[in-house]
Amino acid sequence: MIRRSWRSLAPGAGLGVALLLLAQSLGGGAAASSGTTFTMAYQSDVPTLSPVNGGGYESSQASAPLYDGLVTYAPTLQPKIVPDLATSWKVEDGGRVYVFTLRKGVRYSNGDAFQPADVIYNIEQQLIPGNASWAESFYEGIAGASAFAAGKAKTVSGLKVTGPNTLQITLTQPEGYFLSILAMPTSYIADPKVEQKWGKAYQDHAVGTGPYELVSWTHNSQLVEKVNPYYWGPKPKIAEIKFILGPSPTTIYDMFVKGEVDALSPVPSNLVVPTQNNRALSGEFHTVADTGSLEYYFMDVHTGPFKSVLVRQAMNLAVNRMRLVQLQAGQATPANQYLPPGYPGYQPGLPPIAYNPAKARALLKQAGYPHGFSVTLSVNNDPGVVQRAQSVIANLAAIGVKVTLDSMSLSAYDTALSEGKIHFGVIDWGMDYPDPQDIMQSSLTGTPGTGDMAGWNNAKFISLMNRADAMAPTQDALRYKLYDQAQAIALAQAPWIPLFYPNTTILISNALSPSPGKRANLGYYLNPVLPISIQDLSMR
Amino acid sequence: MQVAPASPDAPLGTAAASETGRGGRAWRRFLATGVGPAGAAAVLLTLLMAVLAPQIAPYNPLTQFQNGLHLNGVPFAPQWHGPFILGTDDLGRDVLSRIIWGARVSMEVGIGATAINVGLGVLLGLFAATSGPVVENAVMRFTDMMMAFPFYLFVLLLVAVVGHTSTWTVILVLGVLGWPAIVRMVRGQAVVIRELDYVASARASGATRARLMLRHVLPNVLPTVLVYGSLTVSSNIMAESGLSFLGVGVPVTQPSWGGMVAEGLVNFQTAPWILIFPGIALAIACIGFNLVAEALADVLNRSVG
Amino acid sequence: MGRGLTAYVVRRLGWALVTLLGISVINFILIFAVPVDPARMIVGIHAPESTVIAVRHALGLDRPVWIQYVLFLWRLLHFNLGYSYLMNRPVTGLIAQAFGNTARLAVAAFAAEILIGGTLGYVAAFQRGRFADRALSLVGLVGMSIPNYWLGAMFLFLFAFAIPIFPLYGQGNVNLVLPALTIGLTGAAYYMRVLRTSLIEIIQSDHVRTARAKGLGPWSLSVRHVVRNALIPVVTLAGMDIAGMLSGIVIIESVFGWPGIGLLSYQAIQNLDIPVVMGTVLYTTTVIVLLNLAVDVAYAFLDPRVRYG
Repeated sequence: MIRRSWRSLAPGAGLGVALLLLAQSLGGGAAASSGTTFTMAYQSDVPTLSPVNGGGYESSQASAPLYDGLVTYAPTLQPKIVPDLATSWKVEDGGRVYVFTLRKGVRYSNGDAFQPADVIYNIEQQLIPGNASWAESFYEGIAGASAFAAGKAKTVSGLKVTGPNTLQITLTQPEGYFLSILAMPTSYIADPKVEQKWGKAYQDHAVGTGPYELVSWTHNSQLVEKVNPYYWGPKPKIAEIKFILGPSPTTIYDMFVKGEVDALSPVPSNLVVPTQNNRALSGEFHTVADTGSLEYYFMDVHTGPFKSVLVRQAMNLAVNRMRLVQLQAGQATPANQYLPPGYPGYQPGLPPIAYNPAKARALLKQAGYPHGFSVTLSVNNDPGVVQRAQSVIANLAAIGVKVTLDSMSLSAYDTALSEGKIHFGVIDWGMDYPDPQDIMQSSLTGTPGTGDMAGWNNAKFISLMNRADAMAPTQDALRYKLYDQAQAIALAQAPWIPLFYPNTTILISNALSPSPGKRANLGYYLNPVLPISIQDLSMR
Repeated sequence: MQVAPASPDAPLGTAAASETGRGGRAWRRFLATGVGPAGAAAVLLTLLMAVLAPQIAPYNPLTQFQNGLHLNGVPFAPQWHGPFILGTDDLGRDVLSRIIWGARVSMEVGIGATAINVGLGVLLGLFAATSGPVVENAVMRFTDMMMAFPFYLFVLLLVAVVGHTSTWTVILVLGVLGWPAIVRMVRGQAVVIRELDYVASARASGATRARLMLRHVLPNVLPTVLVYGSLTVSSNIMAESGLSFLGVGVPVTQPSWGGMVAEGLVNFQTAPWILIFPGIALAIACIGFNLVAEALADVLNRSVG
Repeated sequence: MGRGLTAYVVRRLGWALVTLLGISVINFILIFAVPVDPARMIVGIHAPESTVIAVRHALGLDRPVWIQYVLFLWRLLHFNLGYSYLMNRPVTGLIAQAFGNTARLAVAAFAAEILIGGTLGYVAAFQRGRFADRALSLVGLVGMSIPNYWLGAMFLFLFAFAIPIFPLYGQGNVNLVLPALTIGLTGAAYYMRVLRTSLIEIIQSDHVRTARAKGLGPWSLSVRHVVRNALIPVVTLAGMDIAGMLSGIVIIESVFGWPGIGLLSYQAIQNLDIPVVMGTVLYTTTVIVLLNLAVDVAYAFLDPRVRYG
C-alpha cells in the first residue's frame, strides 16, 4: 500500500535483520550494562516525533523506542502480530468488531497513567484534517471515522471504551489487515495531556509508554533518549540512544569507521568495496538479499510512444541490468518480475529479462519509431538513483531513445508523483506487508497519483487481483495462482521496467555482541513498517 | 607601478582619454608584467580545450565504457600507458575527455554570463550617469535592492521556479544576478568623467545623451570594464561550478567541472582522481582570468580594488 | 557634524525599509511562481485529495494572493513567520537556531581572513615592488581561484579522517576550525590586496611623510585623515563579506554539515518548504541591508564628503 523510498525502507529492513539475529542469539538474560549508548546517524533532522505525521523511516526509528501501540510485530523471522498495550483481543461479527483487553498499570514516561480513552484520542488526532496526517485514510475503515473527519460528529462512533480496561473498535466492513494498521508507527499512543498542553510544539516534548523517553533534541544536531523508568516491560539493556543529525552519508561512514556511530544502513554503493577491504571493519559488514524491495521505472501508458506495448517491451530489452548491479558493487539482483523475492508468490522459475538492444531497436521500428523518440525521465536526487538513471539513459540512447533527465528533491518528486505530473519516473518500492497484494494491488491499480503511476488500468489484471484479494487466507495456494496469472499479464504488457532487487547493506559495530556473523542461519526480518527494537539489544 | 585608489566609486588617478590610443605600448607593458602572459596562456589553454574538444578529446565524454569499471564497480585509476590516462569516473567514463569537454561549459557560462553582466551593467550604468539626478537615484536604489538579494538563495529560488536547468538557464541566471556590481562601477566612473571639462562642454553645447554616452563616456569607462570583465569571467566560472556542486547547475548529463567535483567528493575514498583533476582545471581557468585582470589593471593604470 | 550624520543615517534607514519592503514583494511573487501545491507538500504523497483540500482551507491557502500577502505582512509585524511545512516547527525558531550557528562560523571565518590576509598584506605593503610582494600576490590569487568546497572537502578528509585531528561532525568550537580555515585561506586574498593598497597609501601619503618629517606623533590630524580614507575600501570589503557570511555560506555549510542559515535555506528550497524559504530570504536580505547601512554610516563617519551625496 505504501510506496517507500530507500530511506524509509531499506535501513529498517536491513538493520532489523541483523539486530533481530542479535536479539535472538542473546537468548535469555545477558547482564544489563549500564552506561552504554547506542549511536546512529542520519543525514537530516528527524522530521517529527509525533505519531500524527510519523511513519517515515527516520521518524519511526526515533519514535519507536518512545511509544507502544495496541499491537506490534514480534521480532521473529515470520512477521507476527503480538500484544503490546493490548494483552489480548477478540474478533467478532465476521471481522467487523475487535475487542481489546488492555494492559493494566501502564504509565507514560512522565508518570501519567495510561487509559483506554487515550487510544481513542490518538486515533481521533489522525482523523482531524487540521493535523494533516497522511495516514488519515487508513483509519477511515472505522465506523464513524469519516463523519468525524468531516466535522459532522463529535466522536467516532466505532471507538468505545467498554470497561475499565477494554476497548471496542467497530469497522464499517471487515479488513483482514486491520491489525497491521494498528501495528504501524502512526498508531503509537502518545500522552493526550502532553499533546494538549503543547499543541503544535508537542514533538519537542514527546511522551509515550515505550521503553525509552526523550531526554533532549537539538535540531540538526542530536537527539537523545534514555531508559524510561516507568516502562511496563523488561528493562532494556542499552541505557541510552543517541541520534546524530546532519552529517553527509560519507561522513556517517567515516564516523562509523572511527567508532563514533554503532550502526549504519545502507552502506553507500561506492563505499561497499572499501568496507569489504578494510580489515578494521571485519565482521561488521553484512548484506541481506530478498528483502522484498524493487527499483523500477514506470511508463505512463497514455502518453506518446509509451502507448504502444511494443515500445514498452523494447524499453525493457534495452536496459543492461547487470551493469546496474555492477554499479552497486554487486549488492543487488537483476529483476525479472514485479514481485520481489521475499514476497510469498515470487516465482523463482521465471527467466531473466534479456539485455538485447538489437531486438529493442527492431521492436521500435515495428512500432513505428525507426528513429527513436525523445522523452523526459524524472527522478529524485538521491545520488545512487541519479547515477543509475544515467546508465539507463546511455542504454536507451543506444537504441535511439533520447532521454532528458529531470532530477529534483525527494519531497518535490513525491509531490509531483502524487499530482500525476510524472510520466516516466523511478519508484523504489519497499514492502509494507508480505503479501503479493501489497505491491500489485496498490501500484498497478487505482489512479496515477495514488497508486498506478503508469495509468495502466488493465481490466483483466484488475479482475484477477480482485478475485484473489477477496479470497480467504486459507485458500492461499489458489490465491497465489491467480497472482501468478496477473503477474504474467503485467509482464507481457510491460507498464514498468523492473530494474533490480537491492540488497540491504549494513554495518554494525562488533560492540553489539554477539556478532550476527556467528549465527548459523542468516535469515531476514520481514517487517519494513517497524524499525529495530533497540530494547532487545545489548552492547559491550 | 602606479597605485590608484582602490574603491570603484573613487575618482580616477589620471586622465583616461589618452590611454586607449597607445595600443602598442600597452601591449608591451602587458607582456612585461610577467603574470599577464601566464594568465593569458591559461585562458588560451582553456579556450582551446573548449573549442577543439571534439578533436582533442580521446573519447566521447558521455560513453560509459563496459570495461571502464572493475568488476566490483570501482573506477580505474589514472594510467599513463593505459586506455584511460586520467582514469575513469563512477560510471566508467573517461576523466580526461570529460575535463576537456567540461571546459566548454565553463567557457560558455563564464563568458556568456559575463557578456550579459557587462552588457546590462554598462548600459544601465551609462544610462544612470547621463540622466537627471532623479532617474540616477532610482536606478542606483534599484541596484542596491538587487545587490541586497543573497546570491545563492536567489539562484536556487529561480531554479526552483523554472523547474529544471540547462546551460542557458544557468547563463541567464548568472547574467541577471551579476550586473549590479558592474552598474555601480560603471556609474561611479561615468560620474567622474562627465564632470571633466571637455565632456561638460559637450553637454553644454547640447549633445544628445546617446552621443554623450557613446562618444565621450563609454570609451573612457571601457578599460575598467575590461578589467572587471576578466574578473567576472573568473567568478562566473567559479559560481557555475558551485551551482553544479549543489546540483542546480548544468544538467548532470553534461560534463562540467563543478559537477565532476561533486561526484568526486562522494567517491573520494575510492577514486580521488575524480575530485582532484577537475579541481585543478577550475583553479587554472580562474587563475588565468584573474591574472589577466591583474595585468590589465597594471597596464591600463586602473586598480582592481 | 552631528546633525549631518544623523540626517544621513535617518535617510539611509528610510531607504533600507523601502528596500526591505520591495524585497518582500519580490520574494512573495517568486514563491507563488513555484509550481507546487503547499497543501500537498505538507500532507505528503499518501494522503487522499480530501485531506489536501481540508488542509488547504485550514491554512488559508485558497484565498486570493494579495490577501495572503497582507496576512503575511501582518504576521511578519508580529514576528510570526509561520510553520515549516516539513518540520512542523515555527520558522522563527529554526532561523534563530541556524543563525546562532552561522554567526559563530562568520566570526571564526572573518577572524581567519583578517589574520591571514592582514599579515600577508602587511608584509606585502612593506615589501612592495620586491619579490616577496609579487610572490604573495600570486599566492593570494591562487587562493582566490581554488573552489572553496573542494578545499573544504580535502581538509575534512585529510584532517578529520586520514589524520584524525579534528572531529568529523559536530557543532562545537573545535568543529569551527576546518570550515573557518577553508574560508580564511580562500578569502584572505581579498583582504590582503585591499590592506596592502591601503597601507601603501598611508605610507606614501604626503601628509604622513610631512608629519613624520616634522616629527609629529603618529596620530596627528592629517595622519588620521589619511588613515580614515585608506580604511574605506577595507570597510567596504568587510561589510560585503560579513553580510555574505551572515546570509549563510551554502557551499561550506553543506560540505561540513554545519547547520547554519545556508544549509537551512538550501534544504528548504530543495524541499519547497515555502514558509522557511520566505523566512530565510527575508532574514538574509535584512542582514544585508542593515550591514550595507552600517557600512554607509561608517563611510560617512570616515569621509564627511559622502554625507551630502
